[in-house]
Amino acid sequence: MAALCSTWVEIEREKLLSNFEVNQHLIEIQSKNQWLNNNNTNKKKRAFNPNLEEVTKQTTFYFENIGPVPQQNIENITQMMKDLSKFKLEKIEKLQIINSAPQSLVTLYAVIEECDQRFNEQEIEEILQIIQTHFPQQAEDEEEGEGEDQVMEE
Amino acid sequence: MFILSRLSDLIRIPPDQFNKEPKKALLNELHKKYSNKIIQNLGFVVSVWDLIKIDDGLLKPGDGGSYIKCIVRVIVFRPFVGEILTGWIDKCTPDGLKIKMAFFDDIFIPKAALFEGCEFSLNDNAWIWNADGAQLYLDVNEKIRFRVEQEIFRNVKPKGPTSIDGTVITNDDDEDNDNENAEKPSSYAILGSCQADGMGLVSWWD
Repeated sequence: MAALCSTWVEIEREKLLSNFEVNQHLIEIQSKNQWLNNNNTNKKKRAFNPNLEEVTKQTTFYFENIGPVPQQNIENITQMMKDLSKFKLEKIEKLQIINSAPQSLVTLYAVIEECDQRFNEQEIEEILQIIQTHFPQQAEDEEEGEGEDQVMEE
Repeated sequence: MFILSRLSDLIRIPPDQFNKEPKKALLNELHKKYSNKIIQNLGFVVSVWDLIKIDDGLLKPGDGGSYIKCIVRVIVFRPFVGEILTGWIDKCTPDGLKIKMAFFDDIFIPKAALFEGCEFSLNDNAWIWNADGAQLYLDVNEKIRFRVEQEIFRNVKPKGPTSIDGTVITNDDDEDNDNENAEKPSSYAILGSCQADGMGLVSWWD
C-alpha cells in the first residue's frame, strides 16, 4: 500500500502517441509474453499478469475493429505526413487524421477546427485525396458483419 | 488519444524475483502496478512504454526485497477535450448513451448532448434521431463517433477492511464482483457529445 503513494508524475504529457504506435508496442508485449498463441504446448512460458494481458487484448481488439490501424505501416504514415506538410495543420489535427483517417468531408470537418475558414474547397478535396490514397477505405463487408451481430442479439 | 507520461517511482522487487535480470524484474513489477489502472488526474494507464532511468537498489532493514527508484514512461489513455473518438454503443437508457471502447468503458453521452430531435423509444430500447423526416436509430453495438466534452476524476475510496484470511468483508460477494462497475462510480469517466455533423453512427456519414 505504501508503495502506491510513491508515484510521482514528472511530466504529464511528454509526447503524443498515435494509435499505430500504441498497437505496435502492445503487440510486442503480447508476443514477448507468449499471449498471442493459445496452444497449450508452451503454456508454461506464458507470463502471468492478468491485468496487462487483458488490457493489451482489449486495446488491440479495438484497433483491429475501429480505425485505420490494420492498414497502416511506418512507410505510408510518413509518406502521408510528407504529403500533408504543405497544409497548415496543427500537430494534434495531423494526429487525429492518422488515428481516424476521415474518408468523407463531414468527418474531416469534425477533426479540423474551423476547416471551412482555413482551407478552400480545393484544398480540402486534396487533403481527402491524400488520405484516401494512403489509407484506402475498407470494404463494406465489415458493416454487414456488424448487422448480423445485432440480429443475433435481438 | 494516447499520450506518454513520465513518472518516477520507488518499486519493491520481491526476493523471489532476484533470479531474473534486474531490468526485466523491474519492468514486470511496473506492469503489475500500472497496467489497466487509473492514475488520479492523469488518466487510464495502458502499459509501460520504456524505462528512462534506474537507480541502484536499496535495502530496508527487516525486508528482503530491494527498493529501486526509477523513472519510467507509460502509455496513458487521456483524450483531450474536443477530440473525436469512435466506440461502440454499450447501453441505451432514457438518460443517454453509454459507450464502450473495449479497453475503456466509462464513457457517457447525456441526453442533453445528443442531436436535437432525439427521442428515446421504450419499445426499441434505443435512441432515435428524427432528422428531416428520416428516423435514424442509435442502436446497441453500433459504431458511434462522438466528441469528448468533459473528463471526470473521482477519488474512489479504498475497499473495506479485510478479514483474517484476506478476503474483503462484504455481504454479497458475488454480486459485488459482477456489478463492480455499475455500483461504484469509476474514478475516471468521460462525458461526450453527439451534436455536430459527422458525429453519430459511423455508417451514417461514410
